[in-house]
Amino acid sequence: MSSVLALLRRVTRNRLAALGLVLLALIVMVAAAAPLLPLADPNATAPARRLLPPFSAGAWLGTDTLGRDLLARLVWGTRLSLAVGIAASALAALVGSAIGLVAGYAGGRADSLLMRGVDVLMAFPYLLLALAIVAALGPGLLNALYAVVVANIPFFARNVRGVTAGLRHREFVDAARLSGMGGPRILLTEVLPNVLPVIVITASTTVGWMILETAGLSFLGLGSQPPQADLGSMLGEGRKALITAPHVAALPGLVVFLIVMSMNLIGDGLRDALDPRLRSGLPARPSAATRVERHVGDAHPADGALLAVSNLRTAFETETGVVDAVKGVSLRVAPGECLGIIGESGSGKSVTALSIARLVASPPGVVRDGAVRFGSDDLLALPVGALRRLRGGRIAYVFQDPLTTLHPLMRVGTQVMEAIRAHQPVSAAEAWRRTVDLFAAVRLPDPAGIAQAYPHELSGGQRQRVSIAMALANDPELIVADEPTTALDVTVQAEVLDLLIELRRQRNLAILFISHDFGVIARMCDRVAVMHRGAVVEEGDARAVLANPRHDYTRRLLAAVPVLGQPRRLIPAAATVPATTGPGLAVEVRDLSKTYPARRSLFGRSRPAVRALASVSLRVASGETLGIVGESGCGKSTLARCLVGLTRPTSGTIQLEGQPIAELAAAGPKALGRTVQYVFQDPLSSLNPRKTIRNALAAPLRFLAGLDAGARETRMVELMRSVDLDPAVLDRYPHEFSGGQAQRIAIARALAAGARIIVLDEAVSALDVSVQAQVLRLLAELKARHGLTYLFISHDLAVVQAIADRIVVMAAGAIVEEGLSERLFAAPRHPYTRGLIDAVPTLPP
Amino acid sequence: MASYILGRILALVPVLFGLSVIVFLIMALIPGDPATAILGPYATPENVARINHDLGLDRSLPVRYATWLGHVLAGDLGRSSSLNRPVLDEVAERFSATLVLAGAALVLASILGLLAGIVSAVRQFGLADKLVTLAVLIGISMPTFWLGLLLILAFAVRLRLLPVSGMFSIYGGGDLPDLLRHLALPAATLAVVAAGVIARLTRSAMLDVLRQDFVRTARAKGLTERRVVFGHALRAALVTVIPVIGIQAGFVLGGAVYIETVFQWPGIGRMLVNAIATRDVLLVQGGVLVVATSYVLFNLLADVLQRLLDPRIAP
Repeated sequence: MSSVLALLRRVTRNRLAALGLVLLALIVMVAAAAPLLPLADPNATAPARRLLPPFSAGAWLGTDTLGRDLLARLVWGTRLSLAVGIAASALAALVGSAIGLVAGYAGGRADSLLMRGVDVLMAFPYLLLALAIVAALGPGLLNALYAVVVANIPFFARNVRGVTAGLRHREFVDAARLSGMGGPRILLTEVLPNVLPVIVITASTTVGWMILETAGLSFLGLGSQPPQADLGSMLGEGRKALITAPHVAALPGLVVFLIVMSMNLIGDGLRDALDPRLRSGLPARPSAATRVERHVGDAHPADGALLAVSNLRTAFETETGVVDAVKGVSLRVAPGECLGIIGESGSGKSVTALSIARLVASPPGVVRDGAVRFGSDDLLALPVGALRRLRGGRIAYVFQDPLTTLHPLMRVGTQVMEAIRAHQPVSAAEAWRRTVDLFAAVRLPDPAGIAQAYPHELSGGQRQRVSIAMALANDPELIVADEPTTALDVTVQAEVLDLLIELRRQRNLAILFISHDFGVIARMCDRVAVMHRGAVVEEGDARAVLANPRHDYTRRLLAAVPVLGQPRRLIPAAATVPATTGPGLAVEVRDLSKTYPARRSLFGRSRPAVRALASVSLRVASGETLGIVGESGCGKSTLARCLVGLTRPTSGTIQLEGQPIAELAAAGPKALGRTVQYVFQDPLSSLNPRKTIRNALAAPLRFLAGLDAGARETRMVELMRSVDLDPAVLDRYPHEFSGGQAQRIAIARALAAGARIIVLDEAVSALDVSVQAQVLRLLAELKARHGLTYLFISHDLAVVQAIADRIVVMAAGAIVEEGLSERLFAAPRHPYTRGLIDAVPTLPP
Repeated sequence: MASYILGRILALVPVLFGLSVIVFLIMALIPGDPATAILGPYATPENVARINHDLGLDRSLPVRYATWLGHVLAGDLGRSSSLNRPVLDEVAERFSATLVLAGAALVLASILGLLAGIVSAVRQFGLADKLVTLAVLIGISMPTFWLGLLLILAFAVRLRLLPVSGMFSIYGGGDLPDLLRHLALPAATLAVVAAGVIARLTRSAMLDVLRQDFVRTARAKGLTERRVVFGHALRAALVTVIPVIGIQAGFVLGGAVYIETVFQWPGIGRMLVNAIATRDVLLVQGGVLVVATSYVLFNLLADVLQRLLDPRIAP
């Protein structure tokens, strides 16, 4: 109830929506009170008083062609139109949403059957379907209602199905399944709350139409039949006297218009209030350059430096006030120098980088103080035209994720060509030739062919090379690279870093290199600046800072970095008991294969079969931690999902604590969930955004452990304490927690029902390095305390080495090497493992 | 591309099949007995049975459907009982009049909607944006059958600028200027709602795209703001707008039913309304089938156009 009130408050904050609400409330109140109002009989004809104009005695709004009182007819007609429209909307919402929910959640054959039916309904032009149905059922108000309902079902079914199908693959649904919840329960308690806003939004956009369409059918004479009259049939009758007495037709039409408009206003308000993207106010269009609002300009010349940032302050203007992201940062980059900026998420490093060419989205971004000197120019004082000539000309950018930063619908060659022609007056043919040369310079294979490709047709590494070629297009003096290798696999990252280093030497480029990875910074940069909470806390020679950090924060940060070859660096031996491998085997996997079958379409390209796992065998002793490493696409996540029964293998067997997983799964979700649990990569997406933490923790306690409410409460408090969280926060929602806290909650949920085998799938990969170290330590403690067995999956070799006793290396769906943690890194046998280890950027010794 | 179009055409087969089944069933399940209706007072049981046999109504539904479909595929939609002429001839004549009206309205709505949406997004929160937003709100809330009447009152009855109704003048009409004069009011009325929907969607698609990473890349390259907005953002926004124009085509075709009634346009919508009133089953059936099939084909065109703009769509 309180949430409904809160929603109402949010809706009415939108003034237009409030207006709509008031208008509609007035209309509804008058219509509802019709029997109580002192109105004339709406159906009493008086041939002598035909077509009286408004404000006549005894008939405020005049009379119609049969001398009936218009005001009375209008009120009663509104009552009928509203009732029919709202009933139609409710029916269509109910039936359509049910179809959409079932189709989206069940998937497979039920989905395609239901949606084929909906497609056929959609194949009719909207009103035509309604006409055909009325033709079959015969004219009449109720039949018109059915017709409008059927015509509107597809909108609900499609919208709801789309959202439901998206949710079905979300991690929190998998998590609910692992907590022992059954399909129907998940659909109703986990999925439906997330779908409800979509149903409300669709209903609010369609209820206006439905009133309009039923009125329309009545207008055509196919809806309400005399003497019963809704607004549409009144309009239809009034049309006959259009020229002599226009008010008879105009008034009912006006009421329909007002009703529909008020509903549209409310619908817009609801949509704004329910759509999380709009919740923090309307998204404003970012302008060409970040707004600058500083009091005094800076007069210092750059004296020798290529780039001199001094006392930069960049802030974001939000609904709740101004938030400073960069708080007085000063940096200098000499020509040809590489300066690194390192920091954790939220440290302001990216905002600093974007502020230089004023690329921070504005609104909400605003530069509040400071100066950015580039050569002789103060970039913060430059008019947009001059700034534009510098961007991509003397200062170029390379961004993090090359898939979203390249235009998806343009050939990559065209995009680079465009960069050239924005700054140099060359012909298209010449620009294309230079583009192909640039692609060769960044060592793309088949440069001319790749220039013709679209971004989605290239690999991540190729896309990033395209971005680098684009940055080089006009021989810049400075490249600002914002986490350019973070989205790439470690071997690809090594290649891209090599390329950047070589290009820098060849062209005497200055680089401002932003990263969260100390190893990458150590490899790339001459000097480094460490950022923390919007400020530079330490700056100096890269090797010196990394070897001898002076600032406390840098020291803590460096101590949290996992380093290959130093497995005991993060987790002190005292925190763990020596590997207490129990008597039995916890996990035994034999010849596990998973092939995703080929998809063939009759025409066009068909997708070949994908072999995600090829005959994988492994054994994990109870109490052991097995690390599984590999690059993206190596099959490690498929293996993880097979181990908890979320994916069914094509062949091979899995035994958990001596029992085949097929038997455990057949015994229902309980047996499996009490044996093995799973921790997902992204803690926030594995928790239902519309449910409290209490809900997430209660599910396994209730459905797997079968505890009653009281026992659950006690156990939840214990669990929260065991992962170092305050039990008082149980009633909060996931978004109120940081990534590290949310992952602790996910770990607590995995432990809740007493499973002793835990599969951790990239469980610390999304976390900042200091938080990652804390969670790793927590995992080690929990293991020692509860005698757990971990299967720890990660792409990060150093992290795996820090926690695992034994490690398997996977590539292309198979295990290429297996060995004890220390041995594997000290003396890798397989060339793939060696390549992987060599590619890891390391800290200076 | 050719294989994409071929694949799309093949995918239409089940849709068209389902559509024909629905059209057939709606008419087959009409309550009331055609034989009794035809015979009137001569409806003796023997006569009814004979008529039913002649009409094939004594056979099973699937057999009747197959016979009906065979006729339809051969271009035989039967004979209209109220007009006493082949349904196909009547439908073809009326549908071409509707296509003129709906086509004009859709083109008008697309141009107006796209322009208004772009201006509104580029001048977000400015005066133009506020005016467009208000116009859109009024447009999408408008009962078009009412708006048509008001426009007739204003432009035809009071100002006498444009003809009240019909497609051509009865005397001396028939040329293009005459058609355009008759077309102006109904096409404008029919375009109002669709223009509002397209404008609203274009605005939100543009604003959405302008916040994406690749637009920042375009700015970082040093492109002019004009090129960023019209070269990069609009292109990506169009991909979301085009399918909506396809959907709006259906609403415009449906809305034509009202407009044709209000403006006495000799189109298929008015024909259907009259046919329903006179219980001319075959005429309704033929009309619905032809309009729905053309709508499906039109959407195929919209899909192909979208595929041309968006290389990411898998074949």
